[in-house]
Amino acid sequence: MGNVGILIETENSTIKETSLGVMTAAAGHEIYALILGPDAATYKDKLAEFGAAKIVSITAGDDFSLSPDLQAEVLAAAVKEYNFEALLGTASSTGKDLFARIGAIIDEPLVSDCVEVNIAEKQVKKSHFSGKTLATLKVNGDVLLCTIRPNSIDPVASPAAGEVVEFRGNAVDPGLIKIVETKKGGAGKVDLTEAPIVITGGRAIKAAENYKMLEECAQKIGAAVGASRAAVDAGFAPHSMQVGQTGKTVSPKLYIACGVSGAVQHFAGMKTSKVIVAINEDKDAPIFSKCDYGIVGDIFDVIPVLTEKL
Amino acid sequence: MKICVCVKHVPDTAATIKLAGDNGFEDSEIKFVSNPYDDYGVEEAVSLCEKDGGEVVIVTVGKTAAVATIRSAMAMGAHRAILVKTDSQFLDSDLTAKALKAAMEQDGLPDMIFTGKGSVDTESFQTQYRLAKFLSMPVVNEVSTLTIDGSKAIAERETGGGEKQVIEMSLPCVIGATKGLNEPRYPKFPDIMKAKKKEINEIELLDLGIDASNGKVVIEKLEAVPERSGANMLEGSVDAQMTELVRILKEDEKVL
Amino acid sequence: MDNYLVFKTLLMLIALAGAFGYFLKKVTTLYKIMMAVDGEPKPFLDKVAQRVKIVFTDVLGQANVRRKFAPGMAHSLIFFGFLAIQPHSLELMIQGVVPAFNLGHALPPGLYKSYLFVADILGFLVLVGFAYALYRRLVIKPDYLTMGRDANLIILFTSVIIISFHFINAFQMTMPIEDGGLSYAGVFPVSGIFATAFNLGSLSKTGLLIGYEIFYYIHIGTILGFLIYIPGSKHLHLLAAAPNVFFKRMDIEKAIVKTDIEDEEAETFGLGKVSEFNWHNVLNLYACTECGRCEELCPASFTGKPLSPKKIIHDLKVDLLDQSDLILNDKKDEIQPLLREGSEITNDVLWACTTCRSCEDICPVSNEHLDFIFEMRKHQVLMEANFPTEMQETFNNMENQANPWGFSADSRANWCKDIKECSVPIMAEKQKAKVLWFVGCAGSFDDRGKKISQATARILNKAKVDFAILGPEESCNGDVARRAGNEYLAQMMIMQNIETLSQYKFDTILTGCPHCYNMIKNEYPDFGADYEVIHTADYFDTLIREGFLNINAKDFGKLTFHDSCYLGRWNNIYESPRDILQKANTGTLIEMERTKSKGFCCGAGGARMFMEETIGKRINNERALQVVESGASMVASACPFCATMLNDGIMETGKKIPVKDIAEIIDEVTN
Repeated sequence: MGNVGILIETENSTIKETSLGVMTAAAGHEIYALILGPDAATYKDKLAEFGAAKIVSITAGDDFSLSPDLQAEVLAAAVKEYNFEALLGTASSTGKDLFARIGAIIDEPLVSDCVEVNIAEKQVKKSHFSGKTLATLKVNGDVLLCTIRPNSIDPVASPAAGEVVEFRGNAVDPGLIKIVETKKGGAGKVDLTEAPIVITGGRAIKAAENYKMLEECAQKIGAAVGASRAAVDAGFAPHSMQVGQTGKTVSPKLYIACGVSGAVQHFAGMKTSKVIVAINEDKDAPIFSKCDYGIVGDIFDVIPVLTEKL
Repeated sequence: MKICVCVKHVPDTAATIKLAGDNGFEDSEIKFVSNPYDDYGVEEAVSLCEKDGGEVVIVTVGKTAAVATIRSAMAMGAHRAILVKTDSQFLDSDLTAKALKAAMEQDGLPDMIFTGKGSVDTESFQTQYRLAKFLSMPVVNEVSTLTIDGSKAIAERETGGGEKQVIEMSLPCVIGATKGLNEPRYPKFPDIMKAKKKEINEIELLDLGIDASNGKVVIEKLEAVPERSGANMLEGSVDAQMTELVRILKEDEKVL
Repeated sequence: MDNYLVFKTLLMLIALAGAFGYFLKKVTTLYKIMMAVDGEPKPFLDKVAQRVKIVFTDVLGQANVRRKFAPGMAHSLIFFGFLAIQPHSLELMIQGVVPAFNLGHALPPGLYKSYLFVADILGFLVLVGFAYALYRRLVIKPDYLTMGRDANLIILFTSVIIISFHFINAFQMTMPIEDGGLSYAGVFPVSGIFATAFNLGSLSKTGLLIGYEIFYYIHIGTILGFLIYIPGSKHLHLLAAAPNVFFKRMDIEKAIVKTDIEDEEAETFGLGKVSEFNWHNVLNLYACTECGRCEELCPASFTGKPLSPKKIIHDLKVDLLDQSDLILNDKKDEIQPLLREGSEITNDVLWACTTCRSCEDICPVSNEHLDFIFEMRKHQVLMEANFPTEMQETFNNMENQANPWGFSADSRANWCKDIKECSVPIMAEKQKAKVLWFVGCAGSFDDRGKKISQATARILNKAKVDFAILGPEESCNGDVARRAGNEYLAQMMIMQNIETLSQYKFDTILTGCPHCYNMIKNEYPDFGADYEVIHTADYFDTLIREGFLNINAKDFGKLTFHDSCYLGRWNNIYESPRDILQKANTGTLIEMERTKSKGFCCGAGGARMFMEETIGKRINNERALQVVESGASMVASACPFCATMLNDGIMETGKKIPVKDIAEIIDEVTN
């Protein structure tokens, strides 16, 4: 089993859970945990715990934080340096972008957003047709490039040496693009249409202030908060929060419908959600024939308890 | 300004996919449309040309049936199109990018290239990057705001958690468009009729020197993902239900 | 004396020539404008016998006007009164030029005097009518009536015509009889009272003559003044109403006109500017009396939308006349579009219409307001791509998946799976059946609609009907697209359905949705299809009558029926659903105030089901309040859209009033 590089993502000086899952995907291989930046050593313990044989601190001659192309060039050089048979990462927005650039640079095949990887067999599985089918793909290249859908593989601890090394790439920035500004999002609010989790409040929310209850829950899991048309019409929420045929279409992995009756026009706006959880007082509400998990109850009783448990 | 827009002919996301054989699907009965993300590219290109003059050329790699999709893109205002014909719906990104590059070189390289952020069928999210590399052009994907200032382009892309990057580059460049860039127009009836007569230059893939069997990513199996089989109604006290729900979402469904 | 007569003759000649000349000139111009517009008129000379009959009952008989009783009666009095005095006024005018002229010499005196007798009474009744009109305008003040100061002045002005008429007659009958002259004794009952009341008998002969002449000039003067006023005011309806009624659409009047979108020569489609009217449209504008009955019944006006049918007609008329110079001088390219910066007709106005037809139904001059709305929408969608943004996805859904919500087309028959009691045959397998049940999009995909479909399936099985559905092959009938102005998409969908239908053998098409019913019955024939179509209300009623369904009536309490616009006003089906409900319910059937042809829309028609309703109150909420007000404990309807809208509306009220489709009710009372 050869060398496999894992591009690790960090946030607020901690390793993202999703990256640990990616490491597990490479179990059985010689795992090189790659971190862009000079401070890889701070993550040694965690990375070693989840299987990193080597932890590579990647730097370059120039500051590459403003150039994805330069980051890709340096990573491409690392692939060559360490003779990786595979390079894996998370299918986050930055991950997918970086890997696509790397694939173009080293002219190797890339499969993005996989849910299963078999490095030895050079075989991956991913969604085709917006989640309606699962495709098994054979990747015939020298280096298997692959980004993994967040949370699709559970991290499993597998202690390894975790030796910290440094790699200084001397790649040159092609100078084609430059990040000139990074705008932070508003107070951690997640965009409804691209959010991975959406919690929607329907007519049963009874007042605009009660959305706070859903916001608290949402904060805990990085979710966006939406509203059904009935709630918007009643003045409890602005139209920008409306999910449904005449509002926004969302496609999250988890959709929690609170006090939403589930009319066909609302359903049209969230039917491609991966998992739908519905909470409603009325056991005959249409939403219960369209969800995966149903809870009959008052949202004011249920949601605070849910928030607590998350 | 000459702008090329890459449009892919894909099954409508509302269509049910019926499998055929091990790794195929029935494509004769279902409705095909232009990849929704590509529509943002078409709209942006047409708007830019309406403002500053120029021409918009649709470039598609796909089956002959893709002509219908190309016509609807032309109804939005594109001037003409190039169709590189192939039988496969699953031509890999590398070959697709090569085909697009060859077609554009043959026609005359454009000042800008738009694609969608990714296709809704194969969801590979990388063709535009490979194309940009072949043409030595800058590329930015998931662009939701774009300003063209002479020969400079300033694009904004969202990177999650509400964070946005503002990126500068020079023309010619490749932009992967996403939702929010604009509102794709509904074509006016006279434009729909005019589009029926606009030029579509059909080229064979092989004539561009590309062999479809040389793909590096090959689809071995296509299986259906089971539909929602009916709600699992939780029971017990609110406390017990919530504990169970969180467990299910974290461990069984893996969405938390 | 002779000099005076010469002077009078000259004066009268000038006045008559001037007034009539002006009047004719104005009317001729209006006629020219009407004939100069470019639109294609619809058939207008078919069924002549029927047309003549309607003019008799509606115009001459004033039947339509009296549908609103009190004002209708007042108008009838005014109408008959003026009609009655007309010949005598004309006679007086001619006498002004030719003093010797007197109809009394030409006609048998008995006839002449009888006419004058009747005319005198009817003339007075005009004043009664006017008194009521003034009372209505100054005291009651309904808000759909234009309270122009002008209108009140005109009432007073034309009252003078009558009063002066009576005075002329009064003087006439008091005057001593000339040799060979006619005796007017006893001829004028009302004017006689005037004569007595004002003690005309005490005047000298000269005084009488002078008095006569004064009131003569007042009478003729006010008539001529009014004559000049007519062409430029709503009183143009005096000329335009009768022809307007005569030329109203007799063929499938309740259908959208098919636009020939394949016409390569056509530069524009629909109604974009005033020069694109057809002459019939223009006649409509001329015939409008601004009575406001359309606005009174309009659900959009009622709930605070900027749409008022009366105002649209008025605004179109103003726009036409303002730009009439351009039309008459062949400068049509300079004409401004109807919807423009600052125009009274805005997007909000145009798209607020639910196409319920209350306006057309009640209009006393048979105006066709919807023709304007539909054609304006066609123009906005086809030529400008200007329509409420939420419709774009709806249009795309219909184009791609044959239903407005965008559910996968091949899941259209999935609702059948939930029926335990029976199966639903599919045409593709059966190839032929007696009844082809066209389920429709709401019946196939809408939650409320699916329940209605399931009940219908059970009923058809209980009655052992030989039926089948198209299932996944069924495509939306095109109503939503067509009413939203997307004629291109609608025609595509219609032809697709016709192609599918032509593959199978069946006797009748059955449907539970009034929109599907209206389309297939009234609009599909334009595309070559000609099917026998029946709505479940009629069909189930027949099944019950002929014994195919055995009803065990239940107590549904105080039941009321909500008339769907497309079943009632559009297709005149009011009795069969009531018949069903009477048989099924051991309780009572009550009627809401706004019922049958005055039924209040649920708000979903005209593609509004798929648009946002952001202005004013919600139409379905209003209707729900009306249901509550009626005291009903349950409301029934015969349309899946009405069921959904009523349901939502009643939920808003917080009252527990169930909404059931007639199919669900029948399902409950049959085995």
